[in-house]
Amino acid sequence: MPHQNRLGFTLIELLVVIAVIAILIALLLPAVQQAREAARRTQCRNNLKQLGLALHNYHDTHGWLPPGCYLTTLPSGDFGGRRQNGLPGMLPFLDQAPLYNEYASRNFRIRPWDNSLALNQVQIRGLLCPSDSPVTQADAPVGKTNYMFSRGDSIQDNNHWAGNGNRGVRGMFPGLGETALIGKAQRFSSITDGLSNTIAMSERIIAKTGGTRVSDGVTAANIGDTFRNRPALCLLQTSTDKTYTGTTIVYSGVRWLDGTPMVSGFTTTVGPNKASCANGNRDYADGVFDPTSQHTGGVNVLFGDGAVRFISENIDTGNLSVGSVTTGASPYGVWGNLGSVNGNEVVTDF
Amino acid sequence: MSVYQLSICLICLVILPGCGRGTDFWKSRRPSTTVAKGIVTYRGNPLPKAMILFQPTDTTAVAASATTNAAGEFELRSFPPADGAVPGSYQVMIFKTDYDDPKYDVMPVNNNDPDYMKETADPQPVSLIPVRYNDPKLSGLTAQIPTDGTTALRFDLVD
Repeated sequence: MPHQNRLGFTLIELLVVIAVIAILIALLLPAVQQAREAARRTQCRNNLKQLGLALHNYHDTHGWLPPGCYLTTLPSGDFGGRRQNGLPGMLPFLDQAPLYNEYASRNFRIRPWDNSLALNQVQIRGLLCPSDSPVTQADAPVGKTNYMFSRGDSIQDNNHWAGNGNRGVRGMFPGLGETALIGKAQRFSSITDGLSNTIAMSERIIAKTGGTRVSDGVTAANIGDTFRNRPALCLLQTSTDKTYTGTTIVYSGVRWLDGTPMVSGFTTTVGPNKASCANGNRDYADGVFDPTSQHTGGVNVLFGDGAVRFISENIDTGNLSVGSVTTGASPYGVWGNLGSVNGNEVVTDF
Repeated sequence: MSVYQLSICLICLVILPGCGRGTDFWKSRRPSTTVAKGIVTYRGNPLPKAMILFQPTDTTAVAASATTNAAGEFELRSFPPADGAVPGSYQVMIFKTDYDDPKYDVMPVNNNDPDYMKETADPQPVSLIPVRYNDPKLSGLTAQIPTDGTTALRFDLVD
């Protein structure tokens, strides 16, 4: 066989090389996407960590934690400082002192649902989890938040009715009713379950207008009184692919300083990345609002000691056929135990 | 075996174990479940879109729940969306409201209304079956889910 000088590749060789390169790229692309999501998740955790540090600095300064919802009506009938969550008070500890000063110059008299107010329109980047898809809330250019304050395993009266019949105050950030004083917020010393065993903050997906799925951040509306004592009924409001079957409302995270549990709070009842349900269709309704995220398999959770951990959406949620309690161990398993501040539960492994 | 084949095998041995998803810590600790199906009737007719809630007699155990289909049939789940319910004895609650009525789709719109925070009566769905079935103590309904499962659960509701 005579020796042949090769001037180039044959067509077959070329095709094989192209195919191999294509396979390699196909293998690599998903890995790149996962790496991008991992980076976003890390930034999401870091934001939560910063809020944890701000909470501790706030406690060092004021001697108590900020309330989950601070609701007052001045004797004059003025609206006063109404229905705000803990974030405005934490602003100096989040490198937002100028914003805090502007807030204080208004004597804290802000209606969070006033979309025309410039102060409400400020978007603090550290309050957005980059894993959540871009905000599509059409109604107003109001600042949003992915990070929420814990109402614990309280369902009934976890809104501004907190304290009514001793209900609604099991979490680290209970709402304060019309007559309550700011001094009634939680202190570290009142969290007898231990700061490392008690959830402070977590994340929820910002509600998307027209959304029908749990991953759209929407909430089932008008469930009625009965569901409050049976959180398992809330789980039935979504089909097995986590699509809501009934009417939904769009409030989760849509206003960064609004203190209602539906807008900036969460419960530890049915488990992460599950259905949420409101008793009514107003943004101040009480109900089941468990954390949700776009991360695969769970949510980031900030504990009272400042630790940020990833909690699986399969965490034990105990017996969801009974109502939330006012004293004693949570009926909602390890997840409920982690939410309550003084349930005296044994929590070892989570 | 050539060096080439050997190296391919070694690479696979190193890489492939990382491909498994692994069992979730919490899923591995869940009690085992079994199939639990049945039917709900009211006044002799199948009851569609009713919510069934099984409350365990042992209050620390796990509940099971389901929604009936158009034929009144249901399949219980203890850990939705996973199929199956935990065997055991239960007290049963059944809920059927007019929640689907379009009148509940009306949403408040005026967020800048000064009276916005005034308490208003939230619409409460009305029960379409006797309310005693919403209470485990009054419903009189109990059920046993055997360890090998059942497809014959049946609840005949009356006025």
